[in-house]
Amino acid sequence: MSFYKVQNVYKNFGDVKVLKGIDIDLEEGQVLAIIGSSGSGKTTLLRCMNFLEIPDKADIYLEDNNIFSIDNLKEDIENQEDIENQNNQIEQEEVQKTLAEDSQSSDIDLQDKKDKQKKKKYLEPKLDKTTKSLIRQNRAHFGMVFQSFNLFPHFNVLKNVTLAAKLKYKSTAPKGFKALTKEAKEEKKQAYEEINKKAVALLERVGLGEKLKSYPCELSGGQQQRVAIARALILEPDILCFDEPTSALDPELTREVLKVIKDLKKDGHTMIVVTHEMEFAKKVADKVVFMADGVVEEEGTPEEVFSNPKSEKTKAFLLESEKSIDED
Amino acid sequence: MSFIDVTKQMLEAAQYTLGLFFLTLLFAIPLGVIICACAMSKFKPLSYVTHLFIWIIRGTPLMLQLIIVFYGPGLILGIPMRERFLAAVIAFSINYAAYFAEIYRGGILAMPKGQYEACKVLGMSKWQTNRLVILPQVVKRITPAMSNEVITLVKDTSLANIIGLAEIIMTAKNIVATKAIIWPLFYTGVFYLIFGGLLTLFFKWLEKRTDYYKA
Repeated sequence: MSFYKVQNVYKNFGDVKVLKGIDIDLEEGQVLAIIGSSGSGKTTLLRCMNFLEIPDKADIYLEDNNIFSIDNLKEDIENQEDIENQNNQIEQEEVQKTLAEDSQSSDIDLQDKKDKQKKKKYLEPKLDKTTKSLIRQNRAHFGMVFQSFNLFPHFNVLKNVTLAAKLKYKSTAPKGFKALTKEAKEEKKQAYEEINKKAVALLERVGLGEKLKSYPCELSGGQQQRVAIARALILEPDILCFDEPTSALDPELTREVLKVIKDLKKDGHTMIVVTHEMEFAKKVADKVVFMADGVVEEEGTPEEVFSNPKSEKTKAFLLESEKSIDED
Repeated sequence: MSFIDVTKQMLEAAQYTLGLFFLTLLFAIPLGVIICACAMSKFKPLSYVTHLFIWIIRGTPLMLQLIIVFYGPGLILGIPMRERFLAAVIAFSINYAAYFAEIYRGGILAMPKGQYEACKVLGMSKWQTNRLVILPQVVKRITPAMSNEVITLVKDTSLANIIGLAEIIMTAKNIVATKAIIWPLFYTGVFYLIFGGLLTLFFKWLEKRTDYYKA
C-alpha cells in the first residue's frame, strides 16, 4: 500500500462538476507535481486533499489508515430532486398566476424566471460535529503553502512561524489555576523556548535567519513565501502541499523558492506541488499528474509524461506551454 | 456679562457634552460589536431583523430618535422619562452603535479569505483565528473610519439641546436669549474645535501605533 492515497474524489460547485473521480497515490518522501491548464481542477484537488474544501465524495488513506471518507453525492441527488420538485411547483404557481392576471408576459420572460431560479448560489455542504472535528484533526497531517503567501501581516517573521506551535502547546497545557503553578509556568517557558529554537532553525533552513524580527511587508515575495514554508513546517506535517507557490513571483524569486523545495525533498519531505513551472516538475518531481477537465488525464514519472505523453490533451498542453516560452 | 462669566458657564455645560460623548462611546463601541455579530449571523432571520434595525436607525434623523427616546416612554408606556441626560445617552448609544456596526462589518468583510484559510491549515480554532489574527487587522483597517465617526459625535452632541439638555449650544442659546448678546453662540465653536483637535491628535497617534505593518 502506498503512504498516501486518495480515491474517487468528486467535487461539485453547484452545477459545475470540478472533480470527476480522481485517484492518486504517493509514496513517502516522494514529490508529486500536479500540472494542467487553468480551470482543470488541480487547485481544487489540492484543497480537497487538505480539507480546505470538503469533497462531495472521497476516500483518503494515510499509512494504510482510512483517515477520511465521505459520500454526499447520493444525498445530493435526493436534494436535487427536492429542489427540482420545488422549482416545478413554483413554476406551476407562476403559470397559474400569469394566466389569472391575463398579462402579456411572453415565454421568454418565463424562461428567464426559470433560469434565475436554477442559478442558485453555491453553498458549502453542511457537516455534522463529528465530521468537523475529524476534519480539524486530519488537517494536522497537512501543511499548506499558498499562492498569495497569506502570512499574518501584524506579526513578525518569528511569530508567524511560532504561533501555531505555541497555540498547539497551549491546548495541551494545564488550564485555569493549574496553569498558575510554578512548574506549569516553567514548563511553558521551556516549551516556548524550544518552539522558538525550532522556528529559528527552520528560518535558517530557508535562508531567513537574519529576518526574524522583520514584518512580512518588509520582505520580498520570495522571502515571504519562504517564511510561509517555514510556518507550514513547524507543525511537522506528514505531507506538505504547495498551491502554485511561485505564480506570484518573478523568475529570480521563483528560483529561490524552488531551491528551498528541492532542499526539502533531500530531507525526505513528502510534498504535493500544484505548479506551472514545467522545468521544476521535470527536475524535482518523482511523479507528475496532468489534469484536464476534472480528471487525471495522464500520470507517471516526469520522463513518461514529458517525453512520452500518451494522451492527446497532454501533448497539446505541453506543446502550448513550450510555445509560450518561445514567444517570450 | 463678561467673557469670563460666559466661559465659566460654558465649561460647566461642557461637562454634559463630554459626559455624553464618553458615555456614548463606552456603550456604543461594544453594542456595535453585538449588532455587527447579529448582522453577520448565519441564522438568516436574526440577520434580516438586524439589517432592518440598522436601516431604521441610519434612515431617521438622530434628532427624531432623541425625541422618541425622551417623550416615547411617557406617551406610550405612561412612564415619563425624567432624566434628559439618560435619554440622550440611550439615543446616542443606539444610533452610534448602528453606525459602528456597519464600520466593523465593512472591516471584517475586507479581510482577505487567505487569512482565514492560513489559520485553518494551522489548526487554529475559530475563536483563536478571530482574536489573534482577524481582530487586530480589523482594528487597523477601521481606525480612519472610526475617527471620522467619533469626531462627528463631538458635534452631534449639540443635538441633545432639542430635549433641553444643558450642553454647550443650549447654554449659549440661553445666554443669548437672556442677556441680549450674540457672541456666546459663535464662541461655542472654539470648544468644539479644541475638542475635535485633541481627538484628531489622538487618532493620529493611534494610527501611528499600528503603522509598523501594512495589511
